[in-house]
Amino acid sequence: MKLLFVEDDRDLLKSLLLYFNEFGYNCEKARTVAEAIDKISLYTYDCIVLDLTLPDGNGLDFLKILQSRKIDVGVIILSANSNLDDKLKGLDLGADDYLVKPFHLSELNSRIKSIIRRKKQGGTSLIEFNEIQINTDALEVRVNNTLIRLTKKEYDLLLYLIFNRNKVVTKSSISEHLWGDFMDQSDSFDSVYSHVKNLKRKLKESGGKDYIKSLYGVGYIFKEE
Amino acid sequence: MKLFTKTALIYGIMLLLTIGIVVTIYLILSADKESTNERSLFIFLIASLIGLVLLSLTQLIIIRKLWSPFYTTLNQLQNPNLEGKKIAVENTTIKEFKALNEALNEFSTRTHEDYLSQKQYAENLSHELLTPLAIIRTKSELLLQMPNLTEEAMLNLDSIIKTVGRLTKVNQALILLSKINNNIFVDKEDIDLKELINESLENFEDQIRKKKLTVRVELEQSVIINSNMNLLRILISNLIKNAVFHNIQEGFIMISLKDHEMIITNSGAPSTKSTDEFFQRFVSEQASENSIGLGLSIIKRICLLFDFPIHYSIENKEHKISIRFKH
Repeated sequence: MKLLFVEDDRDLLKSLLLYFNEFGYNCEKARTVAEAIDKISLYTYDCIVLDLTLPDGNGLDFLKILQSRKIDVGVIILSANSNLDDKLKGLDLGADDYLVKPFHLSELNSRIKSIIRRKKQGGTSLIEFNEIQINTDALEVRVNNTLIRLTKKEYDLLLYLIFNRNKVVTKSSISEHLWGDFMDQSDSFDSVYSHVKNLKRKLKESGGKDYIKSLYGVGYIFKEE
Repeated sequence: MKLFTKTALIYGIMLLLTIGIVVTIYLILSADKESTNERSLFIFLIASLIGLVLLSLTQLIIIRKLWSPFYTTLNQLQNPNLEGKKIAVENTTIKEFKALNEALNEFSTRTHEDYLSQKQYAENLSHELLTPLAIIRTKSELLLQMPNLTEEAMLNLDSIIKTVGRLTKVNQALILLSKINNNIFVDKEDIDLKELINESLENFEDQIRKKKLTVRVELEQSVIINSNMNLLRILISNLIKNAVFHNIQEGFIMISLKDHEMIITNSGAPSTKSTDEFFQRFVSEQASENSIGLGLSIIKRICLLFDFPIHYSIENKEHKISIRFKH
């Protein structure tokens, strides 16, 4: 999977490249609109992560160029602005998603994965991890071919953990993923804990292995034992 | 024309007129040879008095009229909603009033520009914080991925991550407040309050269940108000969030909506500060992990913007907020 990160801040860019390279993505960078245009002229990407405030222009201008050149690529906008108007403008111009700074790396990863899956022509809606099978069209989860009943939150949680497998996912990011801005940090952590507990129980009851490890209360990691 | 000159001129004319009237009456009387000295003197006296009274009255009316540009300006200045508006002045030929109006206009323009740039400044600063916050968060999350981290290292990272979370929330609130001040939320539409309340309650379903809260709702059929959807949603959401998060285990929440007045009553920990202080200040009850101060600031600001009277009281560990949504 090829990703292009269009971001002018060096530190942030470095973090992004480091993290996503480890995930196995092929990552490229651009720090200005001009650089970004160069890149898309040379390569094809599966997803572009686009910051709006660039030194030589607005990220939306770059979006317009993508549109005018009829380049079909997933775009997720990173913005400092949670302004609804900007968000709509971005989506209107063809962006697939919008994430406000500061964001969680695991959340960004989850969104990128979703966009890529959606964009894949005739792509399968099945996600498999050993004995766990998730059908994202039917919103069904099977363990050893047995259907298990998960609540919406538990389903979202499982998908999020699997998308971010082998990486530590913080409670903060889970809380924000499940409840967005509604929850205050400390109050939501109990809820995160109970949802994880319930999910583990349901997976185990269907004969599934325990892939969800807790890390000193900081977060969780979904991985093979 | 100078104020003094005009006043003097008017007084002069009035004086001449009065003298003219008095003299005329005197002449009329003296023409009448049969009248006695005493009688004519008396009539003369009366005439003079009437003349003086008329003179005074007319002077009062004229001075009033003369000063009207001044009173217009004064009224404008006393208007509490003067924020950033230009002072509408009455056209006048009097030099001093003209000068006053010009000076005031210049002053108000300058103040307004300062005000605007400060508002912009506040919002810009908040935005400047976002990328650094993103950097701290992402670096911390990267560190978390390192193998063989000790428990101590993890807990320290956890603390950093949680603190970034808090900073983010505070910054978000600041950005929201400065946007409200910058009049970004101008669109208005018909909003069903009942729907918003139910929507919010649904969002906090998990927490409500977790704390085993009893929620009682008495909502009048569709209360519709014409206002900004975004802000109203934030308002209701913050109100209910506070009622849920600052509640005790197995506590209660009572929401009533009648005659465009919404009252939320909930159980909660007793407050050690006085009601008003608690409401006024940004500082929250416990070590600001719970952002009740932020939430209340936002609630208050939105109510102020739309002129919704809001009252807050704590009695016997029961918190009560009432808001009147005027049509």
